[in-house]
Amino acid sequence: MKDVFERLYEEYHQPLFQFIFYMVRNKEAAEDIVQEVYIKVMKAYSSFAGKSSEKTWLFSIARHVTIDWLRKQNRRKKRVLFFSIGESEDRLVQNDPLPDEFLTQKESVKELYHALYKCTLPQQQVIVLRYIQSLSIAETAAVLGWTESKVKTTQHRAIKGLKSFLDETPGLKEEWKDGVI
Amino acid sequence: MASSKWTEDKIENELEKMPVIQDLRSKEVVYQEIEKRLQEKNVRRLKKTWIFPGVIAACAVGILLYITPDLLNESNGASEQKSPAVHEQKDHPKKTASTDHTKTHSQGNDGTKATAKKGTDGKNNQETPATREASRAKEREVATAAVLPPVTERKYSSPLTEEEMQKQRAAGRSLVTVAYTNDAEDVVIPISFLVKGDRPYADKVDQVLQTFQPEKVGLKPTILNKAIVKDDDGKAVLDFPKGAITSSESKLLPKLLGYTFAYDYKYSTVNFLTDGQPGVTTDEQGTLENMNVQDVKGGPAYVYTSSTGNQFLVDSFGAGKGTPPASFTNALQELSKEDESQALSSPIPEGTDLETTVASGIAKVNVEDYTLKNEEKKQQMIDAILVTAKNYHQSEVAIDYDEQEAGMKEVKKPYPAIVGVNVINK
Repeated sequence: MKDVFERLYEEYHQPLFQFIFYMVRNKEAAEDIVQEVYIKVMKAYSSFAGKSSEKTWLFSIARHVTIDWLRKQNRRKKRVLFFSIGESEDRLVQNDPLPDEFLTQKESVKELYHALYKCTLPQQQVIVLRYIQSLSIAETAAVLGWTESKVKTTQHRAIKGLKSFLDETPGLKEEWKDGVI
Repeated sequence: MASSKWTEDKIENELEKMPVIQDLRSKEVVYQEIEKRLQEKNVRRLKKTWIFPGVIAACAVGILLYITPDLLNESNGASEQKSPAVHEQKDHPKKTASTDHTKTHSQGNDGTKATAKKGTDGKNNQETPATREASRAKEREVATAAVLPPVTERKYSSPLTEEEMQKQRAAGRSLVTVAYTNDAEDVVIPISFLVKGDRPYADKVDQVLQTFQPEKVGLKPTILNKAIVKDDDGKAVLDFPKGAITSSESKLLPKLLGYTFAYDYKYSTVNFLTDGQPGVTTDEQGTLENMNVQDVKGGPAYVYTSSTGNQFLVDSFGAGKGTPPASFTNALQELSKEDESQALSSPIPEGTDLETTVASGIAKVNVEDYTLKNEEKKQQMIDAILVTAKNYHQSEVAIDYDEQEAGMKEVKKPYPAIVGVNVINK
């Protein structure tokens, strides 16, 4: 088991961790989730039939575990805060501070990071997989269990949605005036 | 007003430049954390409580308590006034007249005599397959109202376990499955009924067709409702009125017949008559004298929700989803995927993982579920797994239920086999 873990760690750990982080926006949670992903992977590794690539199989498991975590978090928040019943479950709002890696970034990157989480959960998954993880359309479709055309449509809508959210961001309008971007 | 400087290209470029986020822990630290967590899981597994089997036992006791007074009433002859759909034929004069009419096709004058003897008014003597449907409508209205449980209890109709069915058999009931369709006629939904009496299966099918009104649960009557159904020396015979089968109905005919005559009870072929004469003419298949009904391919079982909110398990063959996956394992994988093309939903909620292995004839399904708290949904998922197993002739299925939030719960013993599907009058 350790041999398998070591190989998977070397090849995929950082990409998996980054994918999970961009979905949950919390490093401690990402550390926790990635461990859970390995546990599931170890349990299922012997039955991995090799019909999909190992990479998309791992991302698919990471995606499931991450979504479970997000939903659990959302329910807890609703219970604690008596959150609005009407809140859409696929928009999971979090208020974690920006990670250190963003402190030296341009304001536009920070705003884009915040705008990303105004997208729906399927849109976030597509954006993170396609642009941040640089997966192809086919790989993204395999991870999400969708058709390629659905990935393309969701990606298109997500970019349009992001533009609309960014256009509404007051801070950025000030930045554009200053010519920062 | 300043115009936006964000363009779609710029957004895409910026996304590609988002900072790299790394896990700074070493490989060894991560591995130790995983080992620690695995040990914790094993401890919890050892300390597991048998809550889930307890719930099942409580349900079984509940069902028993529910059934027992009914059985007692039956022994006093009272239930026959309460449940028309499970009447024996002798207690149903109109149905008897209708069924006897089928004999007029094959028995000539003798049949007419039989009808006259049992009919209660002159109208029954002139009843033909063509007029029968109208005369049955009112009867179905009354019978269906009586056979259905109260509205609040009937949203989901589960299958029966073999153990439950044995009790029903002891009480003189048998299971009959009849296929209906959705309003769009693109999904065939098998509904099972508990029927009293010791008669051939086809005769019981005829009884259900006479008494049950599918509209009450958001389904549609089918071409079978226009036919007289009977058993003739071990063969199912359907007698249609002339010109009764439309083009769209003839396309559905093989599936309707398959689910009705080869799902629980195994007729190999169905013979057709038209107004008592051999053969039936359809737009799709020309004139047919009989049809092989062994070709129910099954597949994974999805949830269909009707216009009345009733939920039924429908397999992919009935839903017209093409060739079903080749194996039980593949079928469960297929079942976990979203389906946006039809009014069907997966019984496996998103966030629930299934791991399936088949060894020595026993299928082991490990259900990892972090989200599902609704007991009915949970039962529906287990039922769907068992119906799928039945479709793949997988007789033994062990389901390990791993619910992380409430601690490990596990059922290692194979689940009892199920009979029927969507049993509506338990």
